[in-house]
Amino acid sequence: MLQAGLIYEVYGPALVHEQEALMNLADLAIGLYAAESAVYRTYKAILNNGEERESAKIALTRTFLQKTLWETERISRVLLVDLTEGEKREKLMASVIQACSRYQSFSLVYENRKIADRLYDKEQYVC
Amino acid sequence: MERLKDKGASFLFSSLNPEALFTPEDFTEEHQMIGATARRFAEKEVTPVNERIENQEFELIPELMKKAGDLGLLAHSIPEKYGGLGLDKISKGIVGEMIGPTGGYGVAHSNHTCIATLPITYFGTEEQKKKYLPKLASGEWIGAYCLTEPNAGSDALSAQTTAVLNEEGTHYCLNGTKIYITNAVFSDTFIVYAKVDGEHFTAFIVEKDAPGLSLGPEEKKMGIKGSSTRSVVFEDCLVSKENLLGEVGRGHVIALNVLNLGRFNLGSACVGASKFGLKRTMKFVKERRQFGKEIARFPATKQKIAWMAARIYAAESLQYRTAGLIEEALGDLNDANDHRLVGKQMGEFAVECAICKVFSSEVLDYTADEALQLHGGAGFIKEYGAEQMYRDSRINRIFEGTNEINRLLIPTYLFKKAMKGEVDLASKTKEAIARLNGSVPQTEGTFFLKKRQLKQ
Repeated sequence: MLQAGLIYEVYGPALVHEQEALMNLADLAIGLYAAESAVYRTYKAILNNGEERESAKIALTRTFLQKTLWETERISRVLLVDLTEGEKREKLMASVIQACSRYQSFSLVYENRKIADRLYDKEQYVC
Repeated sequence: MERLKDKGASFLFSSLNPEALFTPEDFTEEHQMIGATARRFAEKEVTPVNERIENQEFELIPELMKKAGDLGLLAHSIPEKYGGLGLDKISKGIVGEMIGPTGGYGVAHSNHTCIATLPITYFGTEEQKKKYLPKLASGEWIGAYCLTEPNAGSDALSAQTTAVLNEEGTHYCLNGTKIYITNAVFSDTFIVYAKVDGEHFTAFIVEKDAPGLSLGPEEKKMGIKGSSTRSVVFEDCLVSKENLLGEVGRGHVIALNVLNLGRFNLGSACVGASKFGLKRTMKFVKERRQFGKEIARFPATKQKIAWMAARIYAAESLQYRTAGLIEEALGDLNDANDHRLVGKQMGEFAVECAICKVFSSEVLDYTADEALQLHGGAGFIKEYGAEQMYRDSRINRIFEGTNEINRLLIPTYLFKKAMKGEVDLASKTKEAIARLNGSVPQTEGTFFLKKRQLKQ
């Protein structure tokens, strides 16, 4: 929403011509919808079955979130450079980096190996 | 829009109640049954003749469609009153997913059940529904959808095909050319968009033996070779006045809204194809040995498998979430005659449908690419199947609105809502900045719980 607001603020109704910014904004929205769908599906499954029985879903969700968070941070930073300048840019940039990096301190190397082993066992996609 | 709990694109600015979210874990017995039927059909009937389909033995497709029709796999979205099963949109997604791995056949099947049938289901008159839907539901007739023209692709409404009412007032006379029409060679009905008096964008149902309708030669395509693709030419083609679909000048409501469901369904097919590709790849890496062990055992292989699976999980999750939303919007409108309401409801989740299309087609492209890579040299050889998957995948980022057009639609929809005053963009922006600036608590636990707190 921050990025959407910024674009609106900078370009107003002429924003339809700013296709580069719109494409980036679309990617943020797609990432959000995908991440939210996965997260809440997993959350709902845990509410019903508990964390232990839903460990596969948790692992898949984490791996997806890790990728998506890095991508979200990257796109947000590109947009900030395109849309703002000076002190405002510095402040917002710091906020975005801080907000995203808070959730990037997980290593998923072993979890990813476990995801593959689980799928090998079943010989197909399972969650 | 008080009838809806959820509003279109609301994921952008409000939080979600997990209880209201539809997930594959909520499948009913009926969902599982139609899923099993569709899967069996794909595996037992379609896959064994894949090579002949790839060789464009086109007589096979109507035969397979007839079998699919006998099993109810074409009838899920058609009301019972017109020979259909009247199932929900979840079932539609499930069938779409199961048919997804069948390449060219799957495209023919989905094209028929979605964009070629839905315009009549939702916008046809009583007579049109009675005449066409039972035949389209059983597979006796196959349908095509004619929107694209040489000078009207993404800019679909700039079509140059014209329709003029004859002097007797009985028939419209159509002139123009439609290109890249899926299912052209074996279709009995064509949904055709033309401008009445060169001005008013309007939809028509044209039958294959209408005088003045002819087909161009088969296109030589990169992939999905089993689905016929030709131009459809109208030269003083006479179409009975009764075959006008919807209202004169309101063809755009049909064209654009039906594409929403088409995009959702395309996403479902991509999820199905991705799962199939992953399965085939796992089988290969468990057999292929290098450096003294199966390549499946190498951590770099495992990482690729995990990344494919995680993307598929997200795609599957958003597809069925969207299926739930569409069902909520359209579930009770299967036999509605208020076409404006139908159009509005179909358009409500345009953003979500666009995301289904873009995200799932890109997950499939990613999966197809990694599947081929993990096959090594064998990936480049036809008999292992990864090659066909790679070629077939590519069109999904192009048809039913390129991914670029669909991307542009997403923020534009939000800004339109803001300009209409339906969303207070300025205050939502302020809120977002306030949240970014600190008030988010640092917590321990799983990713998803933190993410949830971030949103609130």
